[in-house]
Amino acid sequence: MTETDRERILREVAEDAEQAGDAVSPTARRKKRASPDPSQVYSVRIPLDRIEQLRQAAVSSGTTPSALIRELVVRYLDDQPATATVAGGSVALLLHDIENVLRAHLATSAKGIEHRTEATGTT
Amino acid sequence: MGATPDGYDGIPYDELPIDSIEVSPDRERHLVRRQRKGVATEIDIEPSWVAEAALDPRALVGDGRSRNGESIQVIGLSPSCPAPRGDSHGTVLVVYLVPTTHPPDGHWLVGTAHPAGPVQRRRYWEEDDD
Repeated sequence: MTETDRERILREVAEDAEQAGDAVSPTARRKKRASPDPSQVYSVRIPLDRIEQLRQAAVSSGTTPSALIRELVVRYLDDQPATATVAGGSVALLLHDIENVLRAHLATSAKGIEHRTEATGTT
Repeated sequence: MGATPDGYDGIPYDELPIDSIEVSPDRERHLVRRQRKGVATEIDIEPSWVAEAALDPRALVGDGRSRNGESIQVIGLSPSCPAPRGDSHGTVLVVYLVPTTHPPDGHWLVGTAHPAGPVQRRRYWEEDDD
C-alpha cells in the first residue's frame, strides 16, 4: 500500500467517524489483552547529511538507528529530576534538549569513527 | 478481510493486539479540532492523548464501520487529556485505527479521534460485561 493510499483510507475513516457521532460499535467488547509494551511512534526528522553518521553510530553500538534514538531519549528522560513534568508548554523545550543530546552523541560517534579510520589507515 | 461482525481478520475484537500507534503529520493536523472546525468548545487533541486512549487496557474495541472496512473503533481513557468539567479522571476518547498489516500485528495508524459523547462515555464506564 502506498502512502497516498494509506492517507486516503485514513481520511475516509475520519469522514465516516464524523458521521458515526456518539454511536458505540455494536461489536464493541472490553479488551481482554493488555499490551505488554505499549508505545507510540514518533516521527523524528534527522538531517539527511547526518543519516549515514547515525547509521554508523548505530552499527558501532551494535544496534539499529531507531533503537539507538529510543535508547538515547529514554536515557535522557531517566536522567531528568523526578519532579520534572512535561506539560504542554515545555514539550518544545524537551524536544530541543533531546535534539541536542542526539547531536552531541552523533558528534562524539563521528570523532570515534574518524579516529578509528586514521588508526587503521583506511580511506 | 478487515472488520467483520465477529472480529478483525478473524481475530475477536477483544483479543486484537494493540501495542503501538502512529499519527501521521496529516492526521496530526486533523486532530487540531478547534481551529479546523472553528468551534470554541472543541478541543485540540494531542497525539499522546490518543495513544493513552488507544492503549488503555480496559478500552472497548469494535468495528469502526468505515466504508473501506479497514478501521476499528476504540473507546478508551486518556488520563492526560484535560477533563471538560474538572473531572479528575481525564477524558474518554473515541479513536479510529487502521492496522499496518493484515492480520494486525499490534501496530496501528490513527484515522481520527474525538472526545466521547454521552452514550460512548456511559458505555465505557459501565462495569465489565463478562
